Amino acid sequence: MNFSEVFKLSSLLCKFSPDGKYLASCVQYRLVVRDANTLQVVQLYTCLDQIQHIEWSADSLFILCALYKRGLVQVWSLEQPEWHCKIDEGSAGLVASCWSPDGRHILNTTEFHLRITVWSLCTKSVSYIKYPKACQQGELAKAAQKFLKSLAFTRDGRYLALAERRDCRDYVSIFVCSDWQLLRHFDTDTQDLAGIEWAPNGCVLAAWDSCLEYKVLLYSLDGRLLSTYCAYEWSLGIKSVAWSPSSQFLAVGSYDGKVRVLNHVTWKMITEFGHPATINNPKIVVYKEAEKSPPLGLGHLAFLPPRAVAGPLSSPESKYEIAEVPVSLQTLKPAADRANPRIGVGALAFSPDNYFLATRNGDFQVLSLCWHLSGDSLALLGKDHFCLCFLETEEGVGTASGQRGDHT
Amino acid sequence: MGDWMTVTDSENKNISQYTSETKMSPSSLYSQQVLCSSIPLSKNVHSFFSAFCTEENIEQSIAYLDQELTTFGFPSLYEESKGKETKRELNIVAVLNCMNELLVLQRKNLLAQENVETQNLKLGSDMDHLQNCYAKLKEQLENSRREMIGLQERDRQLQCKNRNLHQLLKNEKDEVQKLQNIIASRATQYNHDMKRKEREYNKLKERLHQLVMNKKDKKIAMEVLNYVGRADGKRGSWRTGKTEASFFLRNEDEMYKILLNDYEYRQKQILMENAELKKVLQQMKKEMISLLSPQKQKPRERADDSTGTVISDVEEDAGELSRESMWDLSCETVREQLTNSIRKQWRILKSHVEKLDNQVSKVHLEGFSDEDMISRQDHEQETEKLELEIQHCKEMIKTQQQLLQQQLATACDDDTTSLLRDCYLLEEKERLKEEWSLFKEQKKNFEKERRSFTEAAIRLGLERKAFEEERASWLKQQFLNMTTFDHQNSENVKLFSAFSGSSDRDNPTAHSRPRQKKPHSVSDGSPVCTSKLARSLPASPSTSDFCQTRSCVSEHSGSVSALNVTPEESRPSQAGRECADQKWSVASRPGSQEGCRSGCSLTYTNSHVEKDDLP
Repeated sequence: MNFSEVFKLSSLLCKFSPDGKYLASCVQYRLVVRDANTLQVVQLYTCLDQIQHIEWSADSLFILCALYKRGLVQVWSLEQPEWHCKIDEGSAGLVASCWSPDGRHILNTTEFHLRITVWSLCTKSVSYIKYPKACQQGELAKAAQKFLKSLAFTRDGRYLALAERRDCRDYVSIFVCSDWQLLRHFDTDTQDLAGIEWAPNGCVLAAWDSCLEYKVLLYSLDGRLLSTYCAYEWSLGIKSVAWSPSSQFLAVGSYDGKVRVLNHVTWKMITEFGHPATINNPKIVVYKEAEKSPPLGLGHLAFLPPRAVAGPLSSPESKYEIAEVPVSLQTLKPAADRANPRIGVGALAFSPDNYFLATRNGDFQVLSLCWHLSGDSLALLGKDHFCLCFLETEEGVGTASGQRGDHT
Repeated sequence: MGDWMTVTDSENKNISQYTSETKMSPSSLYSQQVLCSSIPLSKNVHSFFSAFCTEENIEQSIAYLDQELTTFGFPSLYEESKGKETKRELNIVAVLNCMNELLVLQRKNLLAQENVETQNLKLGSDMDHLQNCYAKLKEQLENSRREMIGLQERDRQLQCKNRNLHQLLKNEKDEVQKLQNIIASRATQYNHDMKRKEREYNKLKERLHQLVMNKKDKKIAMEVLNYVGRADGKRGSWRTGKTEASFFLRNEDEMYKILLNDYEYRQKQILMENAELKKVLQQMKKEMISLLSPQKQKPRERADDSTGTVISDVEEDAGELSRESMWDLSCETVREQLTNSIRKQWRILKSHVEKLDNQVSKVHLEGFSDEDMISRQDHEQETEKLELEIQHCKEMIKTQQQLLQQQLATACDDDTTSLLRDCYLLEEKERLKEEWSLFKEQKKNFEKERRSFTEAAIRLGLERKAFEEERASWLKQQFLNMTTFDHQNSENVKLFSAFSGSSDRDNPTAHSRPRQKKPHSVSDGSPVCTSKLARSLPASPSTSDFCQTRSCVSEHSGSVSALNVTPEESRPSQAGRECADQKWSVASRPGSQEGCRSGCSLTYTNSHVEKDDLP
């Protein structure tokens, strides 16, 4: 694997365009757009202050730069470099900013989540949405700063679901994105709505409660409650939720270290995956990183879905060999008496062809799981490491190649 | 009766003693003593006998004996006395009789005594035995009593423990319930507190919102260089009052449309799956029936009940098969019928397999006595084969089903229908393609032949023309010869020699010409080309044309030298007809086509014909 030269980056703000042609990165207050193949600088924009967040529009024509400290949003165009747009929230402050799926509206969340302002780039209209809910996405939100999960757009960009809270009750509003009309408004039977997510087919909305209560609610597009699911009571509940790309399955990862998969016909659990500390099943292939230098700690990489993944500690050279069953996975017992403990299934990712589900349990140092579009390889990003796992799809046996990535 | 023989000095006393002793002590020792003492001993006889009766007291002893005997019922020892005073005479006969009687009696008594003694012994041993048994039983009884008490004790202890554990369990459950209640109450408390705080927070937010809005910031604005068009290119529409409702309705419509589409899609998927599964079940049922039906050939009384059901089932299914089209409907009765019939078949199959298992186990016990019995291995192999076959057939049917479904699915869009439209004619199309390729080949061949014919015709024409011209020139020459000698002749001669001469001589002349005209003609191949062309061209009447053609040819040959080098170099000295095979794309160059056309009309036609062959 070849690596290019190191480019300067600030605040981990670096994104490829949706069409894959350009790469935008920011350094302090400058926005640099490079060509994705040659990495030559194509455009260079200067904003008024340090940039906290950038986002490409869905059609890859515009880039949004959010300056939270100044309450400003600046939009740049790739086609016309001299075009500029500045949105000033003034004293309302700015906490989050994102594009609408049609790429022509910007949704700004003001400070204290007072309201969401919808600015239109086509018309001179401004819309306000009151009482939005401040939901966090979980641990991955730490990397993405303040990404709000209270807003969810359907995949085709037609509808927007917004989680609201009024008078100590949770509501969900569904808006039509073409004219920002309110389509449905209904209350949810949750204590504290933690997140909402559309199914990829855009017909079912999953809403889940905070970790104090295990509850998943499924609503149809027209606001009817289809089903609720609750696995157990009293213990800490749901940590992460993911839909399968075909909308057939909903995977729910919880703080007890298990992933439960619901099916779309009956909305009942069809299977449950655990993350045991010792792997005894001879059908599972465990890849263990064998290190040449004396290790600080051994890392294990087990690969047959879904398995927990451990981040190996640093070593200059490493290769993977198949470890013999039974293998006991090294786990760190995190402090259980603190809030938001680092236990439970924190990250879920379905492969694009619906075959595999990759999960991360516990305190393993994997920050993100990302599947390739063809569904035969998985990239794992740790704090200091980057690992690329390639699956042979005939039997699902994986070979893993660990790489030392240059970390920024 | 006591033993008369054991006599001591004092007669009566001892006798009575001994009699009483014998009555009282039944011990075997004593009885032995008695027995051995009952045998008359020669030693003591005389002493014993003399002890009772001596010579002095004969009369007294006789009298005494008589007295004793008469009291015992024996006849008297004395004779019948005539008178009372005279001494009675001893009746020896009576004495002997009495003795005999006494002996017989004695014997009888001995026997009886023996019997009694044996009986006594028996009874004694019985008694011993019984006493032993009694003692043992008593011991056993004692032991079992003790055991029972021990067990009872244990039982009691266990029950105690059980009760304790139950109690503990109840306590734990109560505690759990209590904790849950505590949790619930705490949860409500926290919720209440949270709500309270939230209300406060909302109030703060409202206040802040008011403040923010009231400030009437001119700063909250957006400045854009120019407004961007909509993503889909449409223009925005005005939002007036009457269109609000229509917007709303339209949105509702669209939303319901999306939902309905999704449901329809899902329902279709489920229906397809259902149909597939039904087909599989039907197939399974048929196969099970076919598996079971060959059994009716075997003359087994056990299989009679199963064959009865199989036959009836087959008949039933024959009737059902006619209604197969109705099975596509998913009504309740059809579903039930299918599941019931499958269950029935499965039960029959199961019982059959169990019977076979029993038979096999019997065979193992009895040995291979029955000829009708299939050996286990064969049977297993048979079943494995059948299973494989079933699997194979099922897979085939599934794939066929899928293909059929795909074909017959009505909700295809236009693209797929257009693609599928000609699918039935695929075979014919392929055949047609083959025939077309054949036809094309033939056409090519025909073309080749035609070309060769045309070439031949052209050559013929050329030769004829050449001949004509030759004749004309000859005639001219003749004519000129008749008049004057022209300088033209030298050229003609040269040129004439060009025709009659060999190729070698031709080449230098040909070389010189283009070299004069175009000193930069590139390769050796081109002049050779031109020379060959010269051979086929009419030379004399169109010398200028010839030069022209040669120039343009050389031009083109220069430019196409690359093309022509290799074929020329490979065949440098071949006959003239080869030139027709050369791939001249010269005349196809548009630039100087016109220039060449006049002189190279024939070559143009040649190459034109050739052009068709170019791939």
